[in-house]
Amino acid sequence: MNYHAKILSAEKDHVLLKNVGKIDPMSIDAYIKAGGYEGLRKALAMDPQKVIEEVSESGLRGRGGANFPTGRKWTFTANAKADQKYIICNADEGEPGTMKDRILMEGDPHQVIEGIIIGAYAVGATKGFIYIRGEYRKSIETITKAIADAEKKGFIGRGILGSKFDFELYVAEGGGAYICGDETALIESIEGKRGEPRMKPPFPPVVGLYGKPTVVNNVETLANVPHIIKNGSAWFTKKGPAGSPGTKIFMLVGDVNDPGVVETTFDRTPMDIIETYGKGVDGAFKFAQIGGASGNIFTAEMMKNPMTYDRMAEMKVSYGTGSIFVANESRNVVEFLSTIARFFEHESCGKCTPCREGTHRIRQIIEKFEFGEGTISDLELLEELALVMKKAALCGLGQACVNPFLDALRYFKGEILAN
Amino acid sequence: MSSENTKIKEVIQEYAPEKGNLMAVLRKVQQECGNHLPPEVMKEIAIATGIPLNRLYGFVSFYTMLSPVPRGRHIIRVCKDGPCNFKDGWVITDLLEKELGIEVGETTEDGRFTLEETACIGACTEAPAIMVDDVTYANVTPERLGEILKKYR
Repeated sequence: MNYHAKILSAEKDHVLLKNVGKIDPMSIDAYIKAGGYEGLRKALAMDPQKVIEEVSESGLRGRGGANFPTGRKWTFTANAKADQKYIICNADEGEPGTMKDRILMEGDPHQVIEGIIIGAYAVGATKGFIYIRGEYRKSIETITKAIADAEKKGFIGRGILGSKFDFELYVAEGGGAYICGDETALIESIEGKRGEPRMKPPFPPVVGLYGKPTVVNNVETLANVPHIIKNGSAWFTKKGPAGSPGTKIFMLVGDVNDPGVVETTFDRTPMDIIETYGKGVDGAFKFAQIGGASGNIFTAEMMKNPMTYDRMAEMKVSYGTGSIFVANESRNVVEFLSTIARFFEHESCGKCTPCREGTHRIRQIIEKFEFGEGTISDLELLEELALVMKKAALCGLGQACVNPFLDALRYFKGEILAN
Repeated sequence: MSSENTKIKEVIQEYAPEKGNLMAVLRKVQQECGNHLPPEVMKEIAIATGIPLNRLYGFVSFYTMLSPVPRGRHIIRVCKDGPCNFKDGWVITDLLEKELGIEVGETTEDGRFTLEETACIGACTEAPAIMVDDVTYANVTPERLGEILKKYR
């Protein structure tokens, strides 16, 4: 089985990657033999409210990049009154440098599905979708097969495992739009519309798919859920430092000697992860961008901080999806920014003016520096534009895509001007 | 031509809004029509599904994997994002353009290949990566590129 990614961390440290490469992902029996669906069995014997409490107490936070406490999100949907509720697993992974969701779906699909079913039971959703980006054809096929097998075994359908809980799960395909990673754009896309984000509030947990309360969780977030229910929240909080429990999948890409995927705890520093698992930086370290194209730029000094939620908040940065994209001394900051500027200009959906125009103008300004025509007033304009977008853009794309530009202005202004 | 095509009709019948499968249905119809959705087919879908034609066109033109204009039998997607760029992904793109005699966004004269850019395809630890149709090729080198193309010639 070729996952197009090497797993670098040790098996004994794995929770989410435990089965990946070890069991046949196409065999539900192999998953059950490895202890699978025990979390679901346990959850169905609990009151849904108790399931939410367990997840809340575990301190699990969203792994898609926004770090929102999962239990709290579930509570919103559980408390909303409606004749129909939905759960959506966001598998529209598209953040450059990120492949964790693909590996989880293709390497251990039932772990994700079990998490979705438990989440559905907790919030009272009888219908669910897993929205997988269209480029991940293999993930779509693997998950589709896994859902069919789970139905045959009675984990999905009517009266699941003899309980009164009914649940249907469908695969919804993406069509090559990065913006659909935004939960409201994703909802629009499932509804058969262009993937343009909605005005918020109301938020999806209250008004979501087809106007009904909808909880949207990332693949990696949901993959954690069966383990939390099976082993208890105390087991989860014991993994990793206080306040940042559990494990996280990090991806080492760019100028790293041995690029690959690492599952570890949040007390690690990015530089420690690179040195321990990735055989160090290829060349002399210049900077890293952590968390995808809209991720923050980390200097050598920042790379020495653990990736706990507290420490990241103090530094006013986020580790986003967990991709660690390393640039060595040979890399030109303007070229680096140019790639990002083109990416966002292309991926902006065009619905709101700050993002549609802003991403276009950012690309033009960066291009000026590529051709050696940029001036200090261009950089002032860039900064002003970035701050406006951060405040005025409709969704996370327009608000966050300016991060690397603002960070570059802080750390590499001289180099940009010298271009 | 399309009204005779029973396969297309069958696929359109699969459309069920409650299953969120418009994208999947259009993708399958597109496969039957040579990687794009011609105007007369879109009209047929609009009539069968009740989705207004303008909304359907808006949908098809929004998502890069669907196309209202003709494309080649095989679609080559090159990643232009940071991690692939760092591993000289642009060299592969340049080579493809030269080899096929087209630029990104164009289709070869014989209608065999369309070259497109794509957002990250999640193979960054083995960059550079490209996709041909549904298959991802990682660690692509100029030497390997020739072998890959041969499979589709």
